[in-house]
Amino acid sequence: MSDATAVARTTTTTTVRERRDGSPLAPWLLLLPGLLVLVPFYVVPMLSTFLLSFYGVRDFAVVTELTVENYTRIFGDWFYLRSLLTTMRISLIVCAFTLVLGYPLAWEIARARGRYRAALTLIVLAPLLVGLIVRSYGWLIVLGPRGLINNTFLAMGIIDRPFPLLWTEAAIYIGLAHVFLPFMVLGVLGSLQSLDWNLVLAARSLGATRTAAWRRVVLPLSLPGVGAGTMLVFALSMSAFVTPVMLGGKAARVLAVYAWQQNTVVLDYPFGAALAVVLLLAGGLAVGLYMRLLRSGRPGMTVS
Amino acid sequence: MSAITLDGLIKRYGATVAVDGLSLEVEKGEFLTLLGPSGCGKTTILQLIAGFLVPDAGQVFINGEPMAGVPPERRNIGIVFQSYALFPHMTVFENVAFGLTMRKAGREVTRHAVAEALELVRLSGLEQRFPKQLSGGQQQRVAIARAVAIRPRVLLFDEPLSNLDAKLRRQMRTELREIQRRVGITTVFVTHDQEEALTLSDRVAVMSQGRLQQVATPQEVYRRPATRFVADFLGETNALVGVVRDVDDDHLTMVVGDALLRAPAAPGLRPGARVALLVRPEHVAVRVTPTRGLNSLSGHLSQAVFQGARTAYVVRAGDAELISTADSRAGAGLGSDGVFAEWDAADSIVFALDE
Amino acid sequence: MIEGSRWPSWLFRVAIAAICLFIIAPIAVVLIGSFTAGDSVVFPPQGLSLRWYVTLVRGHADLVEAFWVSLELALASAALATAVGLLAGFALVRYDFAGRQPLTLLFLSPLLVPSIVIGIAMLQFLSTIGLGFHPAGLLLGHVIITLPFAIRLIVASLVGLDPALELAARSLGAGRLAVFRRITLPLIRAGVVSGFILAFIVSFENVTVSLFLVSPQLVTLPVRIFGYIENSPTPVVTVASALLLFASGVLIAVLQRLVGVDRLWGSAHS
Repeated sequence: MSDATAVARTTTTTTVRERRDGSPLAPWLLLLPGLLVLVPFYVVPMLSTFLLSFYGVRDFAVVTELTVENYTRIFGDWFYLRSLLTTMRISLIVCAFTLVLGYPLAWEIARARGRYRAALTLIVLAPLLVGLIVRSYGWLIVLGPRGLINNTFLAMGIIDRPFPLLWTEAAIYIGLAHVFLPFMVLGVLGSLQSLDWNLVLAARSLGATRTAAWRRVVLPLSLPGVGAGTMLVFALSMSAFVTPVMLGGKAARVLAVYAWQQNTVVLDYPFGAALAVVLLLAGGLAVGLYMRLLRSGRPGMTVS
Repeated sequence: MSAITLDGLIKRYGATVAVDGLSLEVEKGEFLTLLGPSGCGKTTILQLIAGFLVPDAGQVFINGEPMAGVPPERRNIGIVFQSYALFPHMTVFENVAFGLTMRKAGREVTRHAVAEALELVRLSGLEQRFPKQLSGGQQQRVAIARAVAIRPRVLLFDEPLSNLDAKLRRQMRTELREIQRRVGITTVFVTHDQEEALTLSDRVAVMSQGRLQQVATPQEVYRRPATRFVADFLGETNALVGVVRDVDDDHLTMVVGDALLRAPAAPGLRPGARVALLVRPEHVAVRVTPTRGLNSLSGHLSQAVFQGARTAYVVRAGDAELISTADSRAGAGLGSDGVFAEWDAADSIVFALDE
Repeated sequence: MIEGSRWPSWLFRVAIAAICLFIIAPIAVVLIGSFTAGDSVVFPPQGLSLRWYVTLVRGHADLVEAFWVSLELALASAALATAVGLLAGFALVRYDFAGRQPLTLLFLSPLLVPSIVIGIAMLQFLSTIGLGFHPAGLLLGHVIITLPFAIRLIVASLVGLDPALELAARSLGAGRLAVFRRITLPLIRAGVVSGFILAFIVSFENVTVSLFLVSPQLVTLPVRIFGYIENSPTPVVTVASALLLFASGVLIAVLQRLVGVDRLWGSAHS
């Protein structure tokens, strides 16, 4: 989102734009191929799914009568309500986890220079380009009954038989935190990078200790970045399902997994659609908050 | 016939009017500078001439031909941009040859024209370099060569010297003027730097808020500014506010505090009008004893600011403050009290204060 | 950066190193684990060999085929996304027209909408109009999710291009098309190439949207691996994952050289 506004902003400041001698149709012609892909196969499906979520199913056929049945089923049935709460709990824990790991990392990157900085940045960001499958599969190997952790502890004699790490909710926390950590780092880094480090020097010169300078100056100024990172990680966690399935197995009682099953196994499309809408809203609310944070343009929020 | 005629140009961006009914003629071979603060619309005019923008009203003529509907690539205009806009993926040769390539000029013709243009800007031998390998001054010359190589009907410069350091800027200024004289191409030069405008131009067009304030030779805009804006924008001025007491044939007398000042009359001023008298610091002399009855303000010296060759003296006279600049050696003996700031009536100019 | 106010505590450095290890470890174990000589997925591997690579090539036609499907799909969707993105990006940056901002948002929005929601919506819609499981659906899905990545890099390079360069070319006699071909395109080539590579990686790695759009006849490698893991992981699957990793690793290295991986998310993130 920040992208869209950033693009819009940069382009409005460009002094010379072709509103001049060109035909007003020219931009639309250029946009046409993109619109031909997006409108029929993205915009229309999204709208139709939204509509479908208000339809019912009788005798395995979709009934085109508007009803909120699907939603009352999600919020009225303890099974789905509990799943929604579980999803939120997992997302919150993942946020906390990524924050604890991501803040120090962002701090270190913000202060690092030269090759060290380049290396740190690469370590943090390159995994974003390594797919979900590879990363989750890696955790499968690390956390498995004969995996890195169990084998290490067995060899050290700390435990005498494999400890169940995989197929637990904890495995989901770890996997998701690993997948989304870069976004938290980017969020916090956005704030820390635009921070004027002379402020810290000023605080120190006025008698603040290092810790006090951090707590009273750096921390408050980096809060918007923390907020942005948290919102993003929360939104992403709410709709994650590949990693929960791979690492959590039956413990992955998150909403996205049910949405997947409803649409590919049970084939109850209207209910599957309603679950998708709930996922979109849950993530959308968080992203909306994130955008507001970005737009409020508080110091530190200008993501360079 | 004028090389460029601008007739009642209007250009708006949304609610703001960038160019507000501007008419101007530029003679063949003339070097005209558009001078004004940033945002006054001078760059917009350049882009209207170049065809990058289409006017909302009015017309641009080049050599008498109306330019409406003629795209930039068919106007045959050479432009030197503030950022030079050298194509970074092309060598110096390819940059200068670009316009000729677009005109499908033959190889020999192109090579000859490029060589000639590079010789003009004294860059022969650097054909195979890339822009990145050149200094700022050299890039500037390539940009000029590229614009000149197409033998344009008109040359446009958009603040071309503003990216150079002060010393190089002065040097390029002289050179630019020489090049323009040699090729004799009608030139419109946009700048916010008054010194540039005064030293380079045949005529200066001073602009403010999308309108022309004065179009005249450098000497005239400096000595006889047509409006208060021109007077303030070009050079330093002292302003004294007062009321006209009486007006005779070609002079008027005005009252500032308890002093009487005499100045050349300005049309439309009657006794009782509130006016501002402007006088340049270099025309104000500071003396220990008064040498004249009129245009002599008694005050005290509040500051002397050494500026190298010249020194600026700040004289407080009642509510007014006057600055006088003089050769640093001349005023060395001035005490800090009881001085007189004096000037010739002919060196001052009076404007009505618009209420 | 601030002399005398560094936080040199070794504890902090150790923590940073540990976090980096946390990031790298699961990726490294896939690489190392793929060379195991043992019979099951254990770590550390029991001896090193290429035996499971051989097994994959010789005895797992489904994985090999899925690899080629993913490769072709990624090439096709990246090519389409780059071509479509180049035109759209140019329009969004260089023209001023009503609806420019909402359209920018539309083109970037597949980044914001959860992949699972895009997957569900496309699956439902395509099967409603009778195109469920059609290969075109898979391709379109991938074009839609890779388009924002291509557009972002192309837009960034267009925005970074001095507009005066294009104006200068116009004034020297080049028409719009000539300007685009001779000035704009050569100068944003790095952006276009990185847009293509990024789109390729995103498509090649994608599993979430693919899961909804694959058909039994046309399965991508990530989806195939996902299916295996649901049953039981074997070292062959580790090798298949390592293949994914190699492919993206090489391309990440190219991107790092071209634009720098940090720039991909540098201007904004999502």
